[in-house]
Amino acid sequence: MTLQTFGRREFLNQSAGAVGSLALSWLLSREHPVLARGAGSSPRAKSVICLFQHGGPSQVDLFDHKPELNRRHGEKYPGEIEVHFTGQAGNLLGSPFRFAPAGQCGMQLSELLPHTGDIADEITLIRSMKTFTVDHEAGLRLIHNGKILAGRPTWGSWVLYALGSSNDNLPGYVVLADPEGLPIDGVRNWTSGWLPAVFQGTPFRSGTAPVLNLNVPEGISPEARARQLGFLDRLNRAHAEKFPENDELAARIANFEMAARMQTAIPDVLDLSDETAETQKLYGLDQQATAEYGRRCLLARRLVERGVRFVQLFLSGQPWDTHSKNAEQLRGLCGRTDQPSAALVKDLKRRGLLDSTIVIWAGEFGRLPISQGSDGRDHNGQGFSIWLAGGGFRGGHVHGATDDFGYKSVDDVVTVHDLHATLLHALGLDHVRLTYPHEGRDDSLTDEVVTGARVIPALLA
Amino acid sequence: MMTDFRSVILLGLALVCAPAPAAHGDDARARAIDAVLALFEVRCAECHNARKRSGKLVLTAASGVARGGASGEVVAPGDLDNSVLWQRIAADDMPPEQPLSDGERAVVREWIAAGAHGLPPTSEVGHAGDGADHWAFQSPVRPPVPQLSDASVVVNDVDRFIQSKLESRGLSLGREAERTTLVRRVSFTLTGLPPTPDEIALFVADGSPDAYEQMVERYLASPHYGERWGRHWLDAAGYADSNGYFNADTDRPLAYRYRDYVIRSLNDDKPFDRFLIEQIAGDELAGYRPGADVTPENIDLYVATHFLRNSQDGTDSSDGNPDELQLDRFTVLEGTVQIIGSSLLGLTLQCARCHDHKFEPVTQREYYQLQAILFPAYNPDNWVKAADRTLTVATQAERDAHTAQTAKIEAQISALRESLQAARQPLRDLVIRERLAELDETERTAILIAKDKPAADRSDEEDELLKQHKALLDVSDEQLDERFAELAEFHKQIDSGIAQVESKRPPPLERIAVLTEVTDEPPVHHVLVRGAYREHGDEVEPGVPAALCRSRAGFTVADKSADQYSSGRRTALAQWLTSPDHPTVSRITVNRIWQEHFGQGIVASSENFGYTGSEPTHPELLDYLAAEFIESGWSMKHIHRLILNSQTYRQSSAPQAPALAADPQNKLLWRFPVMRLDAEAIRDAILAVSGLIDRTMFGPYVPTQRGSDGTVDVAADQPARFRRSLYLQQRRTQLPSLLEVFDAPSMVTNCPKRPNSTVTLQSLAQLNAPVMMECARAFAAQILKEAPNRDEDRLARACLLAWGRLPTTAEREAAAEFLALQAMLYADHGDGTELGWRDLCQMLLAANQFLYIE
Repeated sequence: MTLQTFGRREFLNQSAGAVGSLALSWLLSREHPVLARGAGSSPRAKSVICLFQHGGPSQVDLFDHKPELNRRHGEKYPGEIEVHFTGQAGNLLGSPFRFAPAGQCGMQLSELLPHTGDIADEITLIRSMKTFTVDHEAGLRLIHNGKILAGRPTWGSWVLYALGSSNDNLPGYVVLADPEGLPIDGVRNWTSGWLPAVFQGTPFRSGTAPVLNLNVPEGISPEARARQLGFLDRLNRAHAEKFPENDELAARIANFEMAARMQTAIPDVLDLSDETAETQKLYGLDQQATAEYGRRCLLARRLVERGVRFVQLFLSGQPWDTHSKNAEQLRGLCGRTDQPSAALVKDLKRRGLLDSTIVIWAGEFGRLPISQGSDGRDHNGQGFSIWLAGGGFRGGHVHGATDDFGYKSVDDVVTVHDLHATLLHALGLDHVRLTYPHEGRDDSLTDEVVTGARVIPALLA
Repeated sequence: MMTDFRSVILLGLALVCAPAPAAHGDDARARAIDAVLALFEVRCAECHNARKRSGKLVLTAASGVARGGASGEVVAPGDLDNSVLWQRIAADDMPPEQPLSDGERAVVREWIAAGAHGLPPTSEVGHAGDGADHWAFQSPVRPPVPQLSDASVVVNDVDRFIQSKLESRGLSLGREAERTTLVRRVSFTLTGLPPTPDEIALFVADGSPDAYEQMVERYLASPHYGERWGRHWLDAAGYADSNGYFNADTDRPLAYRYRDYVIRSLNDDKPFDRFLIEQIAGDELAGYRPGADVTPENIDLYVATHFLRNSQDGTDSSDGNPDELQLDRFTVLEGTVQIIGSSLLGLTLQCARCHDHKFEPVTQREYYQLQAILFPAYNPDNWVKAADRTLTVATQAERDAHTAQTAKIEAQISALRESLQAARQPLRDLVIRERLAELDETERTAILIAKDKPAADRSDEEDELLKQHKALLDVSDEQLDERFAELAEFHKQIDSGIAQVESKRPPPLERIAVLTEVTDEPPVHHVLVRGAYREHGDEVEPGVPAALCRSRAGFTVADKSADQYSSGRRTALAQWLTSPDHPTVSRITVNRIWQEHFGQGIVASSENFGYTGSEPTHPELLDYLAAEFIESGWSMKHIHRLILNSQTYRQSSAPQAPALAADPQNKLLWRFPVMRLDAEAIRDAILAVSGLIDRTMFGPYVPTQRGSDGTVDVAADQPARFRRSLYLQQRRTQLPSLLEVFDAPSMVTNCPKRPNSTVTLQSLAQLNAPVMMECARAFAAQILKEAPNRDEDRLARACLLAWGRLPTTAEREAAAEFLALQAMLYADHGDGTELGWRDLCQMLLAANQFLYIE
């Protein structure tokens, strides 16, 4: 029986009794070809970095140039418009920002994104995104786990479940949270839901101790610790002998081994001193506005370089939620994120990693073309823009369009579910077949029967 | 022969009811299914009823037949070849015991061949049936206890249900676990603490036939029982010590009274129906009206209502945006409904906020009817902030006396202050005059005139003049005291007088956080179109989902009497919930108890009993326990006894090859599962084993803080830092790190079932968390003190404390080798023995022998 016909989970279940920890190390760390469960196309991408921009970035000010909107600034929106804050809906609000063609492809981008302009030929800009809620938490869950419900596995967990990790010493799904605090909806954004817990995201804290309890306490020498671990391993193995079929006990044994390795691997990945001054500058580490985000973008590259499968960056709270002072807030946010985001793509490319790494820049929804209050914009799930780069996505490509005002996606609409299907496809996975049994059925990230998710081939080169 | 006779009758019935060939009217067509359903009722309903749903197929309702079973639709109208139902009947697969007679077959065959009239279109039955075909929406009925071919392996009726299923698969209950295993299992499950060596010895040495039952009774009687099971209920109730919602996550300093109420109630084995009534309508039970007395007799009734205050509530820190403000208020209402839904109704309700539930029998209207029950207390248009939803613990007379006493003291203090002022004034004037002496007289006079005028009457010039000479005119109290010794002496006397009066000030009246209605006229509530709170749809009266009212249990709000302030809506809710007919409350509660004892409920989705929830593995056992629960007077301890005294619970965890192959997930319970301790039990056990634990019960939470490295724990200088985990501050955004990493919930809504994760961060905590080191040191010191001489005795003692048993040979050998290695390593240290044992003790606490119960 080959693995192709056998399936990864079955393999784990069947073999656990006989070779418990072997199965575990397979699960946790072995690089291996895409396996039967969910294997689809031949993959180009092996890993994903998601630069998540929560709050709902304003597409008409950043990616989706709408001359008609500017022309009719101040007029009433001609038609029905779904708003979140009903009492404050105003008239059409033009974008104060200039747009210009960028790159060879000439895609129109806002003056707020000069660095993204530099990578225009690398990115697939989707201007026709659609989601199904304008509530932040529900929107975050929809894009992270496929439904508006809490408690389902997030996309990183699915990818890790399908592909495993290719580094023995680091978690396969790493979350780089903002030092200022957690995003809205907190740890739910990287839960493994009802997938086994080994697939959940591991949040790295900022600063010198990215993982709690990483360092051996004072008073315990490396020799003493090594012997402790040896002793502990003997105890745990003696215990596990009674329950050879028990995956969880085997996982815990493996985790102690991994914990010890993480103690050296993590400081190594965090130590940016081996990055050249030029690289550090590229990410903006030399400027106050970009240093923090730049550092995390650089860390993301270093993690992917070491075989981490899925890295996701968050901002604290929901900064793109520009209900008031939209233009002013966007200036600050772009000043913080534009250069580091673009630097990541440039850096991956010159290191030959972009082919195998997908970079996603996306929020949970977009914003309305009308004003909220005098100078804000309200939530919009009907149309928004995101970009992807690398991993087989088509560089210099603009996909789809919204209506004349940038409100509703009208051409080549891509739902959040389609994005999931296509993302998995780029990783060589079939979103219909990448399933896990849950409450009596084989459930999946896209739940295609319910959501109608489909792969969008036009997004891929 | 009975069956044959019945069949004949049925057949006759079927023929009578079957449409006459001439009748082509719609009515006759719609009735065509009646005969078929009547047949199914007699021949198929034993398995395919709404409760049992064998193969997820219900044949007792047209909707069930249309919906089909686990493998999809079973009837293809007009197409016998593609109708699974017919194929199974024709092949004599079904019914399994006695196939249908030819006449009976004809009824089904004709009906399908003629187009299966009367079958509702599948689009209409979808997932969201009306509840008629789903087990959880029928009242539990005490089932007959199964007869066993071999009853020698069972102890009580719980076992009969379990063994009967096992038997049907050729399996059987396993052998009993060892006594040391049993006492550790029971101690942890009932108290969340490890058994002490004395407790172990007592049980192991007890030769009486009911030694086990007596041991269970000892732990049931422990005050720590209420702490352990209180924590489980607080999970379901969504308890937290902070308001959540916003990042500020402000404090809820009075919530602890509710936590303590829960612990006491469980220790008293307060009947669960009473427990619920108090939590949902305690204020109405106490006859609340504004200004009501809160006395030792009724305080619990008020404190209990905090159950409905557990939802996140950001309304204290909402910013000024009126839209957001309203949204934040509705969020409290929604959170509270959601908690009731998942903890008591077994229903996910959120979907019905915006539209009729797509999967469950809950309409949008019904969702707002549920909200309407709480609307008089949580009225967004007449909002009371969280911090203000409090009552003083006093009678009206006590409050009046307190006010009078306070006023008297205020008056005395201001009199004293005034007399000091009066003494100062002439002296201050004197000093000013002295200071002004150097100026010429005209100016001096002008200044004095200006100074004595009220500020409003002064001209601009006068203001300027005073400003110019400010330095001369400002004479501080200190300067006066310095200048006039007698004044200084008088000042001292006044201060001591004030202090004396202050000492008689009565302490502020104690406050409790409660839920009460805000006005005596319940406000009108509406369906909110698409969930948008500004878009009012139809008016709604308070009510509950019809699907949960299939039996006698109905929801009726009693007419309000003249002297009644509160609407009585929550009393009606509580009465409906605690009616013995209620389909979910008793089941969901015994299911959660089962879940905590076996790691998984009889219904795995313990918060969702709806169509989308899991099927019960042992539906009859669930109903049996529900019936026992109600008939015992809603006694939780009775259910514990039934479960813990069963052979099912006493089984060993050892795997058995045939059972493992037949049921690898142990769904049928052929052994006791190996279960990881939960977060609180891990921390509490580490503290208990190392002897550091502080067993003080009750009181305000022990505050935690976030250290510079991000670790959340109690500050090292806090005397109460080794209290049990449930007394630590349960701030939603700041859970103690050690608890958080082992899956303690950061309360968003509530947590009817804890996740069980296995992640590297847990291993890192076990190896490196400062508290682990501290406990390891204390543990080692204790061992060296208690078993001072031989390493073997020390190890035995240590294992007994940490693992509840003596070490095995392999473990002894590993420990001996390890101790020898560490002895070499620490040869040059004066405290080498202590260090070696510290290193060993830490690993005993990190080992799976400690972390898991068998």
